[in-house]
Amino acid sequence: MEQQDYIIELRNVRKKFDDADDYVVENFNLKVKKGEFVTFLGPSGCGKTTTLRMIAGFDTPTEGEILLKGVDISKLPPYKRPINTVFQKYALFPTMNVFDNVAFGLKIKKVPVKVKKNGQEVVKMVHLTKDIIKQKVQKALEIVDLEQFETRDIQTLSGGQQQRVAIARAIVNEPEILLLDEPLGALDLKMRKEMQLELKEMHRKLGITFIYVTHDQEEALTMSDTIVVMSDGFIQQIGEPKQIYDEPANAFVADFIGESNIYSGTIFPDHKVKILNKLFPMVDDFPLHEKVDVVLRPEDIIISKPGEGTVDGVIKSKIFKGIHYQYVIMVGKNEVTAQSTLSLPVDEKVSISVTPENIHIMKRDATVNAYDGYITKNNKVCFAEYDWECDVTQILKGSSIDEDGYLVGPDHKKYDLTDAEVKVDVDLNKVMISDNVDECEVTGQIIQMVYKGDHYQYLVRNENDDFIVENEWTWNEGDIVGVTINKEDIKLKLKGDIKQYEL
Amino acid sequence: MVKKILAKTYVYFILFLMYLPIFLLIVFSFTDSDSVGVWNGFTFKLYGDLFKNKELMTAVGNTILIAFVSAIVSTIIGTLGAIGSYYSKKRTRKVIEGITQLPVVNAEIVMALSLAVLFVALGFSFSFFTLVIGHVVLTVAFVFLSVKPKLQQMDPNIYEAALDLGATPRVALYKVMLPEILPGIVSGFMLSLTLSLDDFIITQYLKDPSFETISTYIQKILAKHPVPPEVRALTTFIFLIAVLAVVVNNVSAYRHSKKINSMKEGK
Repeated sequence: MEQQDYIIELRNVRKKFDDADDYVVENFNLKVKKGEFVTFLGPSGCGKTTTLRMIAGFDTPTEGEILLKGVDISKLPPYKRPINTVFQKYALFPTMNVFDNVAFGLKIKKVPVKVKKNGQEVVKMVHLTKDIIKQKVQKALEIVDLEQFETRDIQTLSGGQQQRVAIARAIVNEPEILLLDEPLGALDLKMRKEMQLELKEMHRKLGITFIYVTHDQEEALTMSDTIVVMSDGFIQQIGEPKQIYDEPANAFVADFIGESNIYSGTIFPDHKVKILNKLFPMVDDFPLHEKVDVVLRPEDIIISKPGEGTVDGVIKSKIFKGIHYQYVIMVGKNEVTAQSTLSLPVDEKVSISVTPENIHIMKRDATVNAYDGYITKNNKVCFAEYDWECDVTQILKGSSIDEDGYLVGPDHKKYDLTDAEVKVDVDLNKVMISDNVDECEVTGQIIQMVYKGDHYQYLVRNENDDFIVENEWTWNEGDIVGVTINKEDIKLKLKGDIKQYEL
Repeated sequence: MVKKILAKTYVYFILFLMYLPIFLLIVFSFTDSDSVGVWNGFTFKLYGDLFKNKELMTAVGNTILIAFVSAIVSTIIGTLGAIGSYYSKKRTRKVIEGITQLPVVNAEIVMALSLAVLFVALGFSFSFFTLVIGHVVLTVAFVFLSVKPKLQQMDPNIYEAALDLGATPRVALYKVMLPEILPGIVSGFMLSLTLSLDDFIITQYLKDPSFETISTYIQKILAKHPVPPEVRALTTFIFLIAVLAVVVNNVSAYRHSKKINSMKEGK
C-alpha cells in the first residue's frame, strides 16, 4: 500500500547500450510523489537524459524496474504510457500547423464509451469528437499564451513560441507525468528566466508531476521541489534545493552547485578543522584525525583587516559582479574565492574568517586509491589491468629477492609469491598523470575534476578502474592522460598468510 | 562593366547552343516537310499524323506504362530501403550506402548486359516483367539517394514524439515520418520516371522483341528509313510537358517561401 503514495518509482535501474562496455546509468533508485517537481541535474553525459528516456519508454533499462503507481512499466512501449515529453529541440511536426501539432495526441486517443447495443450495454473505444478536441486544444494553447496561433505554420514561429507549442502538445493529453528534457536550452537568457517562472506556475496550476532534466544548476535551484544530482551514471545526492546547496553530499556536488571553495582538511580536537594551514572552528561532529573535504561558499567568507580574522591573505584579483565584488584571495598557496560588497584594491592584505555554521564538512569518498591485485611471475603487481613495477620485499620485513626471483625472509626461508593476492594502496598525490599518452602503458580519461584551492582532484578512468589523482596542473574533463606510479609508491599488503607461499 | 557584359554574353551563348536543336525541332514541327531545314508552310499536320501513327502511339503508351510501373516499384523499394538503412547500425548503414552508390556511377551497358545474362541463365524469357526489373534496378538507387538527405534533415526526435503522444509505430510512420520525407519521395519518383522514360540501353537488352518504347521504336525505324516527321511533333510535346513541370514546381516553391517570409515578418 505504501507504493500508492508514489506516482513513479525507479528501482535499481541500470542501463547499458548494446555496443558499450560501461553502464551509462548505475543503480538508480528514486521515488517521486504525485505532483512533485523533480529535476535531474548533472553535466552532459551523466546519464540524466538516458534516465528520462527510460521513463518515457524510448529506452528500456538493462536491469531494474520502473513502477508507475506500483506497476512495472519498464517494458511498455512509449505510446502505452500516460507520460508525455517536451523534447530538447521541441520535435514539433513541421508539416502540421500549430493546431494539428497540439491535437495530434488527442486525434489518436480512444476513450471508452458505453453504448446500448441490442438492449445490452457494451463498452466501445471511440475517438474524441472534433468539438472536444477543439476545446481541449484551445484550452492548452490558452495555458501557454498562444490563443491566436492555431493556424500558423511551425516554421513561422520563434524559438520561444515553438517551445510553448511543444509544452501545449504534451499537456493537452493530461499526462500523469510530464517529462522535460532541457526544454529551455535553446532559448536566450532573458527568455529562459521568464519561461522558468512560467513553467513553475504551470506546474502549480496543472498539478501534474514534472520530471525536468537540466545541466543548469541555477535553473534546478529555482524550479525544483527535489533535485537529483547525477554524475557519471550515479546519483550523487537527492534533496531539496536548499539542502543540496547548504549540505552537499560530496565535493562533486559542492563544486557543481553554485560557486564554492573546496579544500582537503583534517579534523582536530574541540570541533576544529584544519584547512589553509589554520584551525577553523566548526559545528559538525566528525571522528578525530579524519581526512575530510571542506566547502566554503564565497558569500560566507568574511573579509576583515589583517590580523582580525582566522587567516591572512592577499587579494589577487577583483571582478565587479553587479551586486557585489568577487575576489580571489591568496592564502599561502591556496586560492580563496570570496564575495563582498566592499570595494578593496588588488594586492591589499586582508584577513578572512568563516562562522562555524557556514563551514560544511563532507566525508571523503576515498582517501587512498585501493585495488585488489596479485603478484606476477616476475615480481610485479597486477591491478587495473596492468603489471606494475613494485617492491615486493615490503610484504615481509627484512626480506630480499634472490637471483631466481624468490622472496627470501630474514630467517632465510624462501617464498614463491606468484599469483599471491594482495591489497594495493596508492596515495592520491602519488598517482602521476601526463600528456605523454604515447609513452605511458596505462592511459585513462578524466571523468570528474574538483578544484581544491591549490590543486585539482581528478577522477581518471581506465577501462573499468578508476584512479583518484591530486595534481596541481590543469586538465579538462574528457582529456586522455597517461598514468604512471613510481615503484616505491605502490603499497602492498598480502591478503593471506605468507606461510602458504613458502617453498 | 565590359567584363560583366562578356560574362553574360557567354552564358547566353551557351544556353542558345544548348536549346538550338530543340528549338529547331519545335519550329519544324509546324511544317510537313520530310527533313528539318525545308519549310513547306505552316501546318498542324504533323500533330494529326502523330496520333494516326498507331505504332508510334503504342510505343508512347508502352514508354509511359513502363515508366510509371517501374517508378512506383522503385519509389516503394527505395524509400523503404532508405528508412531501413537510416535506422540501421552505423556499419550496416555504411555498407548499404556504398552499394547504392554503385549503380549511379556504373556504366548502364554493364548493368544491361549483366541483367540480360542473368535472366538467360535463370531461364527467363524477356518480357514486360524483365523490363520492369531492369528499370527498377536502374532507378532505385536514385530514389534512395533523394530520400536519404530528407531523413537526415528530419529531426530524429519527431518519430519519438509521435510515439510519445500515443501513436503506434505504424501511425507514426504514416502520419509523421512520411509527410516529412515526402518531398524526397516525390523527387525520387520524378527522377525514376524521367530516367525510365528516356532509357534506351537497358530497354533494348531486356525487352520482349515485339515490345517497343519510343526510343527503341525510333531506333528500329532509323535502321531502314529516315526519322518519321511526326517524331518532331512528339518531341515538342515531351519538351512542353517538361517545361510545364519545371514552371509548376518553381512557382509553388516560390509561393511557399513567400508565404513563410510574410508570416515571419507580419506576425
